[in-house]
Amino acid sequence: MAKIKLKAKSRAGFITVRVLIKHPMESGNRKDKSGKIVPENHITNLILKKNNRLAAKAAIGGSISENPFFQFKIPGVKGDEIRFESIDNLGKTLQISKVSK
Amino acid sequence: MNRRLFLKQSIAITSVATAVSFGLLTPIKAFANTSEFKELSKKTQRQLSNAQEGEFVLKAPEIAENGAMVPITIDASHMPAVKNIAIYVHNNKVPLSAYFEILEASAFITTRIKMAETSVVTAVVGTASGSFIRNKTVKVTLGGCGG
Repeated sequence: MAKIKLKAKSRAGFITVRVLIKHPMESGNRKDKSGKIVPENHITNLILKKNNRLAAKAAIGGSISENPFFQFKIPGVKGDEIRFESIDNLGKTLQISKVSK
Repeated sequence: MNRRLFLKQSIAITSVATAVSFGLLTPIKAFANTSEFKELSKKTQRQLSNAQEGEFVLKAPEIAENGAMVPITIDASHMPAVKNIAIYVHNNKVPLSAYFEILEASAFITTRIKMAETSVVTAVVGTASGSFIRNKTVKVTLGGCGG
């Protein structure tokens, strides 16, 4: 199962980028049934690129929902290359790139 | 002798690989740690304190049945020179949810956030001519009885 999914669709000069990441997004504040604190494990940074140029970036905390979903809008046309990267607090990176439809 | 050579080479290769992977990570890492996030949180609070009501769209449900997944949409795409967008949930333990920097994209963001309890959700849009906010109260029902 892919850990990260991206859909990019162009329409009227804009590309709508939808990203779904499979990630537990533990904020480090939650306790499990036995009362132990679930260790922090969440995505900290996102990067969105179009044709190798930075379009948007984000710093996010543990208060983004589990399996986070993001939607962006970038000016662009069909055939542009969209690239998305994320890194979590454990240093694990995920990346995906797709050509816009 | 052979073994020594092998060890030396393998060490060399590993160190190079590590260097490369670190090198690749730098652009993200340069911006990625919790102190950075705290800094952003403070920045957002500063923005909040001297912001004015803005003319943009903040879409959030009035009642969220599940606080673990509250869809939020911010559309400020008609505002000129938007630099950043922040989502701030006042009653959360970590109030700053997300901080987006808009470089070559429209000021349009959709995401899903977690909420511990009923709270005011504030969207902060930073532009070249100051910060603008918009508030919305989202009720989180725990029992699912509609509050």
